[in-house]
Amino acid sequence: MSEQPTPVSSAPDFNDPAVLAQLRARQRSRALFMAGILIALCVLFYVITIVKIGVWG
Amino acid sequence: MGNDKTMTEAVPQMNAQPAALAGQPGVIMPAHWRDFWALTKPGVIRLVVFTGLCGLLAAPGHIHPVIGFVAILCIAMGAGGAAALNQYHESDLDALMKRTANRPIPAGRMDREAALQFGLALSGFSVVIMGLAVNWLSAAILAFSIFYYAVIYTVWLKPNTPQNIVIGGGAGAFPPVIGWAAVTGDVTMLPILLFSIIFFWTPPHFWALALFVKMDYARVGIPMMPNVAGEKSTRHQVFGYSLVLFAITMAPYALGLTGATYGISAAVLTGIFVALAARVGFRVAGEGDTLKPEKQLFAYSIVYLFMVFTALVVDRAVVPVIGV
Repeated sequence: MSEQPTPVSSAPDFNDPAVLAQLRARQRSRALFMAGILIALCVLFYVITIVKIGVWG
Repeated sequence: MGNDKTMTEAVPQMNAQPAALAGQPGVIMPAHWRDFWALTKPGVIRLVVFTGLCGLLAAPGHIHPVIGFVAILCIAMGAGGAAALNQYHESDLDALMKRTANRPIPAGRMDREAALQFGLALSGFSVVIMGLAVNWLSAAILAFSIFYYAVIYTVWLKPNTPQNIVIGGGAGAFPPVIGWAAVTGDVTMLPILLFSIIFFWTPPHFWALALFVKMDYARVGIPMMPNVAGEKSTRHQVFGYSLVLFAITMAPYALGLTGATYGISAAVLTGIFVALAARVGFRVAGEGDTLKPEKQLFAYSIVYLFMVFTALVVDRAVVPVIGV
């Protein structure tokens, strides 16, 4: 976790293709991260339910 | 988490025309997921998770490993949510202190509203999952600990009183109580003593830090003890609290709640703590002092808490099993 994203202190220029590409990359990264969290929560709730109804353990 | 300005106002959809927003004031890039991770203060969470796990392992009775894992996960999520809410509230002050200026909000990598929503979501999820999966007593204590840190400490105590660390220390002291309650569904004497150990450990731990970063706190007007009561008084209090810590740490053994493994370990570890605190408590730091004793006490205090709680778990959960 030592690598820090580049600080953005001023308003980004979305006309710049490089900025636009960075924007898309961050949106993609966050979307994948959110998807990962949602899948993990689904699995967690499934496992909790299985344990609670006494099937496992 | 997905509702910062960049996501809703600036670039609502992938196919929107972001060029129209070029140069618009207040529009910043979406925060990277690493910034959300940083917002949870992972270093603090490590200690919170560890003490929560120790409370869970030291408790009598049995908990299903999956439910135990969920309880620890919820403690971690709750601590992360509270940390995010803390950084949301303190972003202006963080920007003025060298130690905190590179946090996601003051560094301009994240919108404040995104931090608020992330903190609220994480806190809410942690309490609800804890209640549904584990029990509602541990969920209630978790909810109160989040409120204690994010509101009582951050909003009320920290900017108003030099006793902020003393009373606010309670916020970090709840995890072992939550871990215990997750197993037993109640709170008895031992978890209260575990709470007290962290409570009385916090002032000497934090004031040792405050002694060598006091200029940072003075600059932003936070009334930390060295800036308000003076360095000499703070040093004496560091030593005084270390003596109280010694008494509290020995109490579980003295009351027969733990065995000799814990008793001997706690006596040795806390004895070293008191010795280091005495060195800090009775010295006068001159101009250009490197403050080595203060830094040593701060570093040892972290190791100390890990070791005392490890000794407790070994005494309560390992020794009876292996029959030493």
